[in-house]
Amino acid sequence: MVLGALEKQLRVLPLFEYASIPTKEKFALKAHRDPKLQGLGVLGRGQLFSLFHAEHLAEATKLYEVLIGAKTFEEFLDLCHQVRDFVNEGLYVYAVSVAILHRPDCKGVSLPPIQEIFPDKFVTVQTLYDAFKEFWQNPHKEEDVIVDMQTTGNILDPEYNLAYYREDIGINAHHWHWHLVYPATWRPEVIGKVKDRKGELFYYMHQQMCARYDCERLSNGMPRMEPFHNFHEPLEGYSSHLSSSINGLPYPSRPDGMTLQDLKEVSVQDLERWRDRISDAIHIGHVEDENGSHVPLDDTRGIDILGAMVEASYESINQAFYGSIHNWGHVISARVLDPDGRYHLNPGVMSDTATSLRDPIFYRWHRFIDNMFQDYKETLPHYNHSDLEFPGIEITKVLLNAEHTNNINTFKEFSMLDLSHAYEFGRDGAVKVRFSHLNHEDFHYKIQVENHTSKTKPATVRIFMAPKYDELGNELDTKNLRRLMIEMDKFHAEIHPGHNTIVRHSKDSSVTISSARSFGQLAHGEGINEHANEYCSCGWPDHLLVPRGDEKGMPFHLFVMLTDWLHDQVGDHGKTGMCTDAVSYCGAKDQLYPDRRPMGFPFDRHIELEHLKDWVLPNMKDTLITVTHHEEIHNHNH
Amino acid sequence: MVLSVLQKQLRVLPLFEHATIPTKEKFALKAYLDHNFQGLGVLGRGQLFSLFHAEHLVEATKLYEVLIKAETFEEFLDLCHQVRDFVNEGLYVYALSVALLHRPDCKGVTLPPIQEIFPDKFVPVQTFNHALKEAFREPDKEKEIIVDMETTGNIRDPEYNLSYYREDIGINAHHWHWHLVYPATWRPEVTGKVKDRKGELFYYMHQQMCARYDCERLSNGMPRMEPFHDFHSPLEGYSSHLTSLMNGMPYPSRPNDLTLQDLKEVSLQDMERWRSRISDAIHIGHVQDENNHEYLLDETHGIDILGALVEASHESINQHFYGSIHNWGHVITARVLDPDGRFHLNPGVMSDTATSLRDPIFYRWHRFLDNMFQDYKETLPHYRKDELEFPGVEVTKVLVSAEHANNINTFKESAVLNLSHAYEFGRTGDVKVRYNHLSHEPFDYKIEVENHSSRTKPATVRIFMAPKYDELGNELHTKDLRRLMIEMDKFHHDLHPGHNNIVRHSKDSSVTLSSERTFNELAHGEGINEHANEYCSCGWPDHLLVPRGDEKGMPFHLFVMVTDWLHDQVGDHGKTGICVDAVSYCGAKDQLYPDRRPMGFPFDRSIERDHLEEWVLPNMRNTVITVTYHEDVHKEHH
Repeated sequence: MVLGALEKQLRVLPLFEYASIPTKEKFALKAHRDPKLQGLGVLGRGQLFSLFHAEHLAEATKLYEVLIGAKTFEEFLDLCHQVRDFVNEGLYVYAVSVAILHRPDCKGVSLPPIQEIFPDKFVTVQTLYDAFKEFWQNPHKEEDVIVDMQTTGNILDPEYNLAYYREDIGINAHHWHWHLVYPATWRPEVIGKVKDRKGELFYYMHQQMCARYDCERLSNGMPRMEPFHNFHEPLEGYSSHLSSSINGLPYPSRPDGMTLQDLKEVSVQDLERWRDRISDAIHIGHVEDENGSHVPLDDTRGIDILGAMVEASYESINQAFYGSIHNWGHVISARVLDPDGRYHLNPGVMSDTATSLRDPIFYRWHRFIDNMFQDYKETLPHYNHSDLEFPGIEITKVLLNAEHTNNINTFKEFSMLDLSHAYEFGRDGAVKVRFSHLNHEDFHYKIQVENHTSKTKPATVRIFMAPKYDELGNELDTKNLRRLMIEMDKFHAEIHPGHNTIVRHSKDSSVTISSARSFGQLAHGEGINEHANEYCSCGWPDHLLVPRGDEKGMPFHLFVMLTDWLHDQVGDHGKTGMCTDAVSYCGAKDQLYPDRRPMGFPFDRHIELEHLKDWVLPNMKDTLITVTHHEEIHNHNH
Repeated sequence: MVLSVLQKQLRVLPLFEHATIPTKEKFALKAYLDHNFQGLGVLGRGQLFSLFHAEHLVEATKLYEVLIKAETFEEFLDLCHQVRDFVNEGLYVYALSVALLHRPDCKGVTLPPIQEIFPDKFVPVQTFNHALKEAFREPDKEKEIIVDMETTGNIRDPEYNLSYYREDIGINAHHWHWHLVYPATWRPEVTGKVKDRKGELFYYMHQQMCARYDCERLSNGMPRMEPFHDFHSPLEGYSSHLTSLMNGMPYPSRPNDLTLQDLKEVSLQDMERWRSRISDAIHIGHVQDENNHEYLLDETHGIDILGALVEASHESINQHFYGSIHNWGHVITARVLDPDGRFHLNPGVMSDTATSLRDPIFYRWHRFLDNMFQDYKETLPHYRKDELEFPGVEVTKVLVSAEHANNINTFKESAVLNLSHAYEFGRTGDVKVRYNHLSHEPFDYKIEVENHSSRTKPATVRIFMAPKYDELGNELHTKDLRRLMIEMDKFHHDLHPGHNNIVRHSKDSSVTLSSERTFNELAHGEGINEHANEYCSCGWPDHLLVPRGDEKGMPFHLFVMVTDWLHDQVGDHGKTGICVDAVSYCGAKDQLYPDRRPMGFPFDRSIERDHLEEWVLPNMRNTVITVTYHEDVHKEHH
């Protein structure tokens, strides 16, 4: 029997329901335990699973490889049912998710949103308690119960100004998804699918998260972050107000002034040593593999090699020597409250990909990591004229079309999160959390281009934004500006001879995911598309495409550049195909990243001129726009 | 209509059920809001109520005074129903409990155990999580569910060795009860009931808790505690694993090495200033009231004045000048993780009388306070022979009679705690937690006394215990020994001329509470006694009467002293009457503390000899006994 995508979808959804609670039915007892599942169940139930923790990841990899290797869809489901009650809860959801994203017979099956599977990783625990109390009090079992999201602090901690951003459900879900699509332990030879430029994407996606965070900080009148750089320095405090439903314990709060401590598994000295070795490799210009062979960090492969090494992923060229600085950094900062485990605390939010973005240290840590990548980029020559130009092509005007021209309005908007698929409330009505998040009005880019040649030229349109002024009101020079450039869109366009007007809608951005289906929608068969694949669920949330801006209308550079698509292309890809929806940060299904240029081009390398206007060529255009924030909260439109 | 005690008991119990959840019935809507309630509801719902926090206590006092003054039992109940849903949950339970204990028409009505009202203050949150999941999984709604208590750490924190003691449900409930019977804000002029020697009892009860804790430490091969003394020294860490079910937020974990921080309400300088002023008063020998009148700290009233001053209670002679060092110390320690409230954290366990004993800092803090009281006691002369002797009376032999003579066996025993009165699990079967606690075999003291006179002599028999050796195995001198002397019993006995054999059972100890009724037992009318009163519910738990000892049989001094009851008596009290069950730490209903001697006599003052045996008189007897701990866990007998 061949099942349709909808039928498969409906059979897959229950695998994710009530994930923190052991199943009532005891699926596992129905079948013998498959011998392939031997050696699983190492990470105990009720422990917090961490993708950054080598041991956890090894077990998860073992499980997702078994699940991907299952011969039939039925066997796959049966294996899921078998493991559900004996492997760790978080590890189970991760491995089943990776398997669904990568099994050919699950094409078209969507993952339910992680925020509905584990709302405890997204919703403050007071809110969950309010929900429990409300539903207990409300005798009408059919009515929806709605509670408001509770806050996690106040502006006595200045960093709280950014809490709406760091604790946004969408970006945290994005980060979880990104790491599902790009597991650090991905082994192409076992799975048969290559992840193109995975190391470079690791660098670029996190670089962009940092740039976006700094744009958001400047929008809020906050200075750009101080990169982490000294392993012995006191850390800022943070309290997530999350408690894990898996074991009932909080993600512990970190008071101000704590410093990193050695763990049994890794010491602060290890991290410092790895940092020095990576730095040495960057400045010497090559890395050494395990046999002592030199691999040059050249301008085509260098950043990909470094990305894999820093993460560190399976592709790391020499993990024994260069270590795993990024992953252990997450773990060591998450365990700063209980480094030797004497208090049996949960690790902090930093060790979970679904929660780490909440913590201010996440961005500072990744700026530190990014600074290593930038050290490498500094070793490369400036882009020369021929790298940047597009002969015969001239951008004459760029306009941003919204309520007011060259201005984007931002505001807060209410949305709902349904808790009913994670917890059994014993009622028909849903139990939901109402929360507000940043959003922006829809807008168009209108780009006027002259093609001075007589041929149609295929082009790549690259759009970036960056704030015009720094935290002190000084104009940002290119040295700082390029670090703040956030990618807004990148798309293919055919430029006909003569005058061209390119109109592009913000919703079509290559950065964002168009929409994530809720559990309820998926259960009703909405959005089922049998051509959809793993990349479809990955992407930056549309509501955070634009930085908040400020009440007065914050000036931003809107930078548009056209490049020759014939030089950019990597094959016949990128022109057609589905799930090229959010290629910029997530890649595309056609195996090769659909842009030959270094990610972040042209801002990934140092710019020799101080002012952007001195550097722009005819195929580029820098336009000043404003982003204006409005305090009122809109109601969600759907 | 006159209600019987049983009827009242049954009407009172529901006031304590599901206290963290707003009532479904919305009692308050039935009636107009009484004008007496103006100014209540200041402390918001979902906040953690603290008896140590002046503002909380003011509101609680207002409420309990209104409730005590209600003219009829019906009016009292009505007022309780009215306030339930609008005042803070913890404050409600506290004020209601104080009122019940002190209303004449509630004589005989027993409070349900605090651990059944707020189990979240006694049971780690993982245990709840586990219980909720089991309740969800078990389809048979009538079946009783029992889950095991989860631990809070391991011995990488050496202090964890004492966690079984600090986290014992019984001592924490005792401490909560003690502060119900002796509210810091008790105003005899309003409530019409005097609390005799309340300040001295504050000193003595806490001194004994410290002594008992040190006995327990020595039993576990741990050094006696380091008293807190420097407001700027780093604190040890502690994680309670408790989460308040009032707001869903954890009692935050304190990592090692945090130091106290100023609060908006009180600064460290305030504390240091108060400490110095109290110390000045002690060494100068008098305190000053608000009109600059000097009060001597003499032998009869000095300790009572100081106790009130240090707590500080309503009786403090000059709170403006001497501050409230003890109460604020609890608050400032509890808020060390979030001193300015930027993270919206709950305070730590130290600010709640039902949880503060869990934290190692509690004992060190109270040793610090006790050291001030001891400084005062050092200013008093040694007891003279005529104060210690009992002419004509000689204790000739003391024997502890148990399985083996002069040895007491201790062991762990399992017990269960019912969660069903606090939470709605949607089932008729109870949901319970099984936990282990220290206990000891029952034993008898056999005391042989010669009355060399020709008359019957009424006597007070005083029994103490203290370890023979310190942490390094050296014999303890009286200077240290007297600080470790724990009161085991104190009772009246008539000594007939000639030989007397006194047999006293451990269960009859004046320190311990004979038994506590569970919610269910009270609901079934068990243990209802219309002569019972407030003092009946206060007392040290019997299972912790004896320190743990060690596996080899730890040597203890068993010190017995017989004094002349005619000098000890305070009236005609103490001989008869109910609820003289646990007078030693809790006082008695007959208003005057039933022993004229200073509390802790004869060990409350410095002893001029180094060795106990050089100091004992014929009316005293020091016997060395052993306490032997057995690892096995016994099942509870009821």
